[in-house]
Amino acid sequence: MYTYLFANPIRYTIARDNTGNAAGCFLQSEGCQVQSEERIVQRAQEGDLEAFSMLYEGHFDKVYRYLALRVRDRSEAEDMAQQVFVKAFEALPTFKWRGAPFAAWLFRIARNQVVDAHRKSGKDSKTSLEDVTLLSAENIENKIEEKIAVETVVAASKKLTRAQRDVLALRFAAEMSIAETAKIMGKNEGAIKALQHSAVNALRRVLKQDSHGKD
Amino acid sequence: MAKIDSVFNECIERLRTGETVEQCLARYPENASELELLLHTVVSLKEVSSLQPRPEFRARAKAEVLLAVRNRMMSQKHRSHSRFSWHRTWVPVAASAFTLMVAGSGTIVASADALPGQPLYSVKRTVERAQVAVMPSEVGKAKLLAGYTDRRVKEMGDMVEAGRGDDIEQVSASMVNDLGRIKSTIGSTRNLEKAAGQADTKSQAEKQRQEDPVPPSAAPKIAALAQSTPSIAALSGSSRPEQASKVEKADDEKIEMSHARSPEEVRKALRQSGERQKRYLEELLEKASAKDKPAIRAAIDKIGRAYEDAGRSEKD
Repeated sequence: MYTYLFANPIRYTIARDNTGNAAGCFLQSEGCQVQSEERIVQRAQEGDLEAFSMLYEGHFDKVYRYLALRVRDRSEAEDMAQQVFVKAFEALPTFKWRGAPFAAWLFRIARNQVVDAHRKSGKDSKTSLEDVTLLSAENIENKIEEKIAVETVVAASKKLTRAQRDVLALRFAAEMSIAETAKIMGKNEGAIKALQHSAVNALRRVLKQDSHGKD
Repeated sequence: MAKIDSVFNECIERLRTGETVEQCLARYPENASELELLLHTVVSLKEVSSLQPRPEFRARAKAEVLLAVRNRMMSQKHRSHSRFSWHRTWVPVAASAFTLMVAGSGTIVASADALPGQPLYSVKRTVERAQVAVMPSEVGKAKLLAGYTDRRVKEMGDMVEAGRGDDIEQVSASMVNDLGRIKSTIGSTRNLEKAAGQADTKSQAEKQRQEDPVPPSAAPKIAALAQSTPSIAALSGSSRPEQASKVEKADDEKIEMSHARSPEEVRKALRQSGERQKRYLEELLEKASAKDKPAIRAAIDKIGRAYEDAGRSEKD
């Protein structure tokens, strides 16, 4: 059983089936035909733009979210998210399906992009709280409250180390698993759990400090 | 420390499945005091998943990324020892698939009625540029651009109606630019045209194939797309008359832009469009307020000259 619906036949979705494997839907004359993400990647590698578009649709928001937390400037995150997908397309022939999800490979590209940008600029980008766009709130009141919460978190995360920010962005913005985060960051799972613990703890302290500063 | 790392992670995963902080603390009473502070921070952190790109950026970004990807595919075609195995046959398929994907998104459909100054207008223009870029034939590009000049005239009417007559100058400038592009696009086919005149039946069939960017396999998709993108409908095979004339039509004979098959037919259709648009703008001028009249007059003058220039026959 797949956990998605296709209301618009021209749009594509990457979703997970009941075994947790990513899958997607291709437009066919009789409706959608579900294909594994491995097959979609294979088709994209063969030059199928439709398949590449599906991968883009399925992963773009998370890549953007990851970058928004890492570079923390909306326009920089937007530019970078586009570059990630163009680079991914260029590097697609080198991608080998070895059981690791396509997302892990894609986020490695995104992460390298951030590292390159930091190296070039020589410093981290500043965050503009106005740059954060939120869409999930049901009503304006909730939206305002949520915006404050997210902006506070984003601003506080700026004070963490790059590794701590990286693990938080991968785990909470990109929603990667511990195993996937470990692969992307080139560490073992135990190290990632420890880093996650220290990152959340550091974030808690910064949030506490900031709230005391406002009082 | 290793234990608390794992317990903490276990609780994060449980929160993701809908468990509450309190339920998690009850599972690990010995770590409850430390976990409680951390898990409340995790709850705040979960809000990060509500970060979203702006809708207009999302739509524009997809068009730009797919355009960049498509351009790379085209350039790969010219490399004999490529890492990719793109085949020549992919090019028209990729072009039509690209158009389908770019024009299919909800934001892009919503952008169709956007006017200059509105957030979705840049999406509309990006999609237009992308569609022109992927059109393989020069005549096809010219026809698309001509369709967009019709849109610009409609935008002027809508802007005047909305009390924004002062702003139509940028639209008319954009139209003049597109008409200039039509002129240079179909001008570049002059040599091809001469060659086509001497070609045998086989090469005429090949030229026809090149002018038709839609491979048979993509026809159903293009038909689906046609509902939201009229200019594509006009260019798709389904809109072409069964018996398309291969003979140049007489100068006074009317020709729809969608039926134009050669640069000369495009020019002729353009001259007729120019007349039609001029009449529309003159009617707009009559109804417009005194404040808007100077801008409309200037637009009529500027656009009239641009149509005349772009539609001038090679024989003149």
